[in-house]
Amino acid sequence: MSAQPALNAENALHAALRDRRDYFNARFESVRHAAPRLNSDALFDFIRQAIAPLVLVIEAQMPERVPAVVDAGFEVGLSLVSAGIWPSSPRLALLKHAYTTTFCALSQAIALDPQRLLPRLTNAVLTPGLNAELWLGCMEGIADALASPAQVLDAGIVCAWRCGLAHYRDAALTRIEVLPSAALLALFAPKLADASELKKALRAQRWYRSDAPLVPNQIAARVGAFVGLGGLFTAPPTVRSDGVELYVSSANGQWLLIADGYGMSLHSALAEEMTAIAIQKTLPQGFAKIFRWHNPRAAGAKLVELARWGEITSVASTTDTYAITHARSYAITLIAKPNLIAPA
Amino acid sequence: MFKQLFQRISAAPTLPKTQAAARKFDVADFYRGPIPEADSAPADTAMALDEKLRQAYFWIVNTAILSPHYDIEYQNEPSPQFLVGDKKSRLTLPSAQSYSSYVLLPLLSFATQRKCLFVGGPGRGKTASAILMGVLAGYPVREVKRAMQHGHPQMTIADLLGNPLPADLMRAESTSDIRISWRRWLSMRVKIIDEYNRIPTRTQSALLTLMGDGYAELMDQIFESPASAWFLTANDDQGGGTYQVIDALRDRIDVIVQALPFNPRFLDQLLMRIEGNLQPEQAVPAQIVFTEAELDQMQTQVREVAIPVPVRRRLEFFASQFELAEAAGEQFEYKGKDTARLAGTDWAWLTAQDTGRDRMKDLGCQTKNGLSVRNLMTLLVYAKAMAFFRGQAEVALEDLRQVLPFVLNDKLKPDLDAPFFAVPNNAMFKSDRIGWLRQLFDASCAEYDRLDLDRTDPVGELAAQFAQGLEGLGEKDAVRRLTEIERLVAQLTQGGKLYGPLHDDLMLLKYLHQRYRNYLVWVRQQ
Repeated sequence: MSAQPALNAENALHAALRDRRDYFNARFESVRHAAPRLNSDALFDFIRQAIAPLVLVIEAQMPERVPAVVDAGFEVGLSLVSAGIWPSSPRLALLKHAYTTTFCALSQAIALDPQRLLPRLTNAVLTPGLNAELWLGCMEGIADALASPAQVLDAGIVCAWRCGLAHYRDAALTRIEVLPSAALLALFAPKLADASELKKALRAQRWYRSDAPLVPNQIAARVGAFVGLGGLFTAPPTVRSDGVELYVSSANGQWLLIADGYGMSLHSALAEEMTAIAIQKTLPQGFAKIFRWHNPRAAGAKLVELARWGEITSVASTTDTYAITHARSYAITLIAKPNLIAPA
Repeated sequence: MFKQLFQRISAAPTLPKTQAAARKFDVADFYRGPIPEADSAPADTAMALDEKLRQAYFWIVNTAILSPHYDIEYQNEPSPQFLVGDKKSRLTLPSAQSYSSYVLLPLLSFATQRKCLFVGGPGRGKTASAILMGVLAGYPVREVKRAMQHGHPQMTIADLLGNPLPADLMRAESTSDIRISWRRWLSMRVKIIDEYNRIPTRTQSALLTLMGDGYAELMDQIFESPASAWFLTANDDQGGGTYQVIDALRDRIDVIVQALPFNPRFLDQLLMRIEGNLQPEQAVPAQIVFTEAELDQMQTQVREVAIPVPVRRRLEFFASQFELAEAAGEQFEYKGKDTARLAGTDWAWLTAQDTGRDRMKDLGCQTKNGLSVRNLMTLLVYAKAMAFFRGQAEVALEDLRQVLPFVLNDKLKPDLDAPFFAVPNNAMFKSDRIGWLRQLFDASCAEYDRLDLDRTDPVGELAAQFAQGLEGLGEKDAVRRLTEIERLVAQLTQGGKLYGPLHDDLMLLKYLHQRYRNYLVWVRQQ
């Protein structure tokens, strides 16, 4: 960056802070009243490192929106610093990257509605379970195609799903309709030219991925892990299903499992939700026919792969997925139903 | 400079309810986190009116009022209780969401477009609270302040209502030709009368017409005022003030709330307000301001809240306790305290005649009067409003119990010479009218339970039978029902003692008897 724009940005930032000096001072004092850990040095650091670069870009595009962006940024800074997130969160580097790169790429939309976008996008970066680095990369990749604040928020949900938050699948599938085709193709299938085919496939096939198409019988995913290795389970889990949802139980709790081609998520569930559903150990007919894993004489590569995790302890089936647990594994094996897999 | 801080309202539901096993992933969660969003979130969706009313309540309690008192206590499980001091005063830490009467009752008055009186010493925020209600109705602060009527000894009817146009006064050949310049406040949905007990008696009468009947009259001209919420203030409602408030005007007031003392522990909040030069009424968030249409809709929704029969029955039983004065009249219908009052009978003499009943046990002996129809209607409306505020489709007994003291304060007059008040533990009820009324209702409910009236109510059964209609009822059945009524009257009067509920039951049986008797005559003529 040249020295001149930096000087301008500093001037714009300084001017915005100076013009409402009494207000900002009062806000700081009132927040410190409730949150004594609010530290002025940390707040200045946030303004210098996060707000200034963003103001620099917005000053060049829409100078009249700088005061609004500074207002919103100041509020975000107060919250981040008073909560101790800035400067001591493990995600600090990601936050810095977001403000200095991603949000600058989205500056046009942010300038239009900073009061709404800055808190929301900052919260998104801090969302537990989200691969925030990947999410920021996705957002940067499609930033040029996003003009309005609403488009940015919709894209944020689609990217969250794309980055592994499987429980946002339904919400994302409704939002892909309003996203620009260029953004959609860039996110899911850079080699495809027709966004409508892509949308159709995403909606129809839970396990669809244009970059890694599944073949029938292939294990789609192995999800879950021992608690000591960063997972949730203290004992090998079992699965059950009411035909729609997959429920997982282990010695230490129950969860709802949501998974698809782009990721999986486990959500705490109530025991009452699943007690009425019996655990199945018998393989569904179609499944047995495909794998023949239970017949030693027909053992093939697939059998070997499944057998190495021990005896099957439970099997569950939804409209598009088989889930299997094993006696010697903390992971759940997920297999896409063959009829739902697109021809390779 | 603190304006935005004070304009925050709760983004979370104010009365969260547990949803069993309902799992809906809200995409908005993705953007929720440690950073609160300034003001825009609630604008995304239209708030339900009860939620909006709760948001208004919590904004006032958390932001505008410096030291809220949670005196309307709800429990959903046993609450910790502590006995404090020589008097063993009970301090309860309520287990369910509880409320501050000083904020809640005015808000319920606002929601139902009723009349609320703030009482308390000077400088306790009575006028400021009334102004907040005006701002909640969408009026600019300046307009609310200008429209507020300040009672003073020289206040004339013209000051209150308006003036005839001078040109018309000169030209007019009859009073109907004289146009009136009505005061702007008459058309507002929130009306504020500051220090109403300083208004001269004659002007109070004009105010009574406006409050009671909704119109103003001046020189043969009529101004119809829209349905409004009224907020009045008085430093002293026990007869103090420059002028005695006329009884009819006092009776038009639906609820009375008392400004409780400031807790010095909240001095830092006061200091911040001074340093920030903040006036809460200047910073009311737009999200909690009601439109006229919303006010109308809210009234409709409040009326739609149901009152279950068991709750209604307890109110009936409670209301039956007070009117009876056995010695006041010879005929059964005239055995009421109102008969004695109208005759100017000496109260001490009247109570001295009351020798047969247990004056400690009979709740009616604690009061000098009974409940009017207006009192009961007001009570029903506020009970519905309370349930509405709490997001309930029907009134719970606790809703009724909580609003009752504020509605009946100044309506049900205690007889401070009654034996009840002579008991040392009850002496505090001589000054604490809210506490006294609440214990009165509790005692009535305890008696109701003792009599097992939820399960055993032969009078109620006969009334329900009659309510099904007389169409097709044969002569034999009519005679049988008459006999049943007579048998029940004989059974009920065997005890010898006459209490309020029994008096009302007998009056009902007499009514039913008369209706069946007339019907029987008609059937026999066919």
